[in-house]
Amino acid sequence: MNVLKVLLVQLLRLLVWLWCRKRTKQQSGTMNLIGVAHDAFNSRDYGLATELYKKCVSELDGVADAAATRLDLQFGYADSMANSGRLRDAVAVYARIYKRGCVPDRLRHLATALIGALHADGPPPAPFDPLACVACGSVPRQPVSWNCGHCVCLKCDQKHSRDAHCPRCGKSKGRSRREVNVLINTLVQKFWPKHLEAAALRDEGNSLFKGGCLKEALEKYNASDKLVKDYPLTLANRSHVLLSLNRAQVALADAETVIKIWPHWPKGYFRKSLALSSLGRHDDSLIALACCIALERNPHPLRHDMCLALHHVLLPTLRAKSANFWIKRRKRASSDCEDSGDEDLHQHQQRARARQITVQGLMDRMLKAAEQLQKNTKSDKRSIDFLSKETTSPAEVVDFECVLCSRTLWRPVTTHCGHTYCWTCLDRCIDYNHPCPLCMSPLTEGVAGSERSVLDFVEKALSLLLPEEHRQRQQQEQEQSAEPQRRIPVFVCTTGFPGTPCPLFIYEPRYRLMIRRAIQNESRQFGMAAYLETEGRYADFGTLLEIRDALSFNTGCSIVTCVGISRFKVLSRGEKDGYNLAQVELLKDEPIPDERLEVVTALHNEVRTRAHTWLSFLSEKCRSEIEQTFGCMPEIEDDWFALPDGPQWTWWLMAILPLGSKLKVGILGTTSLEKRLRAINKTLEHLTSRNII
Amino acid sequence: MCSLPRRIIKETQRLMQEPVPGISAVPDDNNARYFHVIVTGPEDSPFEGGLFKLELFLPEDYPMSAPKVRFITKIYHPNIDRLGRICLDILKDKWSPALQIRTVLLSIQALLSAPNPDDPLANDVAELWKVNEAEAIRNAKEWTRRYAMDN
Ligand SMILES: [Zn+2]
Ligand SMILES: [Zn+2]
Ligand SMILES: [Zn+2]
Ligand SMILES: [Zn+2]
Repeated sequence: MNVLKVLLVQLLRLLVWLWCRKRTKQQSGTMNLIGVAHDAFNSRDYGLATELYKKCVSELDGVADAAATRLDLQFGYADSMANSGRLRDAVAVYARIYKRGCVPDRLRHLATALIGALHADGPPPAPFDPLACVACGSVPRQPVSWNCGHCVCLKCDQKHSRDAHCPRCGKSKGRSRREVNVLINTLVQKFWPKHLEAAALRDEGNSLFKGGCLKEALEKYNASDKLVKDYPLTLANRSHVLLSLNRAQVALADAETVIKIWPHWPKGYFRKSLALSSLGRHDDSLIALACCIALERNPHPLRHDMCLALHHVLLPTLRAKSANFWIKRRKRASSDCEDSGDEDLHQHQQRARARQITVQGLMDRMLKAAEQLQKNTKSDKRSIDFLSKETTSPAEVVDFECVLCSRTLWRPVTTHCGHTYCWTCLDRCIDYNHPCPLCMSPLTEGVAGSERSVLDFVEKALSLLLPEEHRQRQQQEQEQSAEPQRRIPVFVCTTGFPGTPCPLFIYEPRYRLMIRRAIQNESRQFGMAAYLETEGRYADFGTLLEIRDALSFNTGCSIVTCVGISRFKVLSRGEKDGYNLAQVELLKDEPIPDERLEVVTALHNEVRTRAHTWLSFLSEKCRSEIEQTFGCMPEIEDDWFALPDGPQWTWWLMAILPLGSKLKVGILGTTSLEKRLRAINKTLEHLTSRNII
Repeated sequence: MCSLPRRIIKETQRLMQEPVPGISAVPDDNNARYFHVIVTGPEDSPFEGGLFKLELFLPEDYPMSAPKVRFITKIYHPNIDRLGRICLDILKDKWSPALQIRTVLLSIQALLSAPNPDDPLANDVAELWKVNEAEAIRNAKEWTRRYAMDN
């Protein structure tokens, strides 16, 4: 009996042991699996993690003492699916989990995934008021302009002082400390005094709000709204304060007005979402938040709001409660029904549970609404230049006048000291080493160099407020820039010759500008003519030069290597920005009549021989200097008699012959090769005879 | 066919339409860059009652370069030499292209009211002005009477 008893006990122990072993084995197997799932999740292999977590969840299903682990596993499963983009499936699992309630923060993976989905292609480029601050959308107050040409309120500049780039165009903003843009400030004060006052009231409201004085803040916003009706910035803030005062219904109305006026502004949807949530309309609140995210440039700070909104739609009790609240409200509004709250609550709890299944449907609605909004924003062609239509006094041409050229500003740029000039007017000041003409502060490298842009505000204001003037000014500039074909700049210096190199030292500021322009417009050409003392002006004949190479020094001077392209005759004279402009006719030799060809050939050969003789009289040193500057004497071309400027060697000779400037000009302007050869011959005769004696 | 820059046209128009009190500046018939200027001697200065002729020329690169101004009427002043050249900083290194003909002439008028013998151009005049201001002022009045009041 005892033996049997002992045996039985042993058997029982064995069974227990076996059973225990099996359990531990299974459990440790699951534990291993959990570890692997975890690793897969952490290494962002969400597909694998989904599979593994799914297995874990099903294997642990029957184990009663693993509730905590089970919850973690379910989250792991749902989070893996959310991260791999299976939003609908993930939401189903979350819905199951939240049936029993959980904290909103555990929805962060779903929230992040949703934000990612809503923001897949980035926010669509939204239309904007071209005259508003690019940071806050208000009329620019104490405007400062950035190097990219956009302007912002001084306050907004300070707020964005850490970002190196403009939020509108992404270009570099330039240095941070800067002065108020004097011109824009004047224009803003002239055109929008009411807006400025309204903005100041809004600011006061904001600081009162921050200080917790809600009622006083509301009064300021109301006063601001009275000055400039339905201004989205004011309404959005008023919506905020109204919500804080528990006046959700009016807060919602303000948010909806904001959206109506600025449908592309994410903040309107954000305010709407909060108001709706406060009214218990959580589904709509979630959709509004999705719209906000779809338009927001940087939606990630909204993750927490997303968690809360999701939490509200997933939690059955909250849904039921809010639904009940909503029903009661509506009942009270219709007021013809007796209050049967408990029954309603029960009904609605049921209905809410039923709708739990349709939470997936809500996801679909949300994504669709956001997509539709992005599409609408992209295709919206409405102009939103509200400010240009709300000016209180009419714009005048003198408002946009450049103090330097007294014309309407063209391609305006602003210095760091806040003064605005035409692009070329400022260039001229820099060429003359002038400080800022209006305040005498130095013109720094930034404005002098390439980091400047046309002042967007002034360009846009001119085109919107004085379209006719803007069109005319544009036309004038186009005509002027088309001019180089008819009119060329003239560098008054000495006589140059066709095909002959001509190094020039440019130090006068006005000619620096001329050379820079010649290099910028692709022709790289300008004219050169000698100054004739006797006539008190530059010669009637000159040479068109082409810039081959330019070497600038930091003093602003430069050495420009040019070569003669063609001869010209001055038809009329003018000037531009301090240098000369001339309308010219390019010169070409008259063809040599057949009967004269023989004579000209003989003359040509004679002059060439005489030239060699003269050269042989020159000292070795002198000859090598000539060769260094002008090269060797060019060979005779086969068709020398038919070339537009005749044989090249004659011009080479002209460049080195010791001739008076008037004589040089005379020969340059002669279009008969025969006459030119005779003139050179005479000179050489004179020079060599002197040498022979 | 020399086109006149808009800046010069506008300044001339304004000088004609809203002349500066005590100053007249009229462009030459043949050269729009050359102005005949008459400055009235300021009240309570030794130049009171005098009409001083000046010439003003706008160089080709005006307003990047300052206008060239010279007294034609002889004047006894420490900052104006025998040739009528004027020692005024804004006509030299302190020139700014935002200044105008109008501001230049106003500065010259102010210089007549407040001679500055510490920054002289005519050294002998300046010397006397510093050593014996009464005599200098007498001389200035005498010159004004003799050269600036002939009509
Ligand atoms: Zn702003
Ligand atoms: Zn920008
Ligand atoms: Zn200008
Ligand atoms: Zn300045």
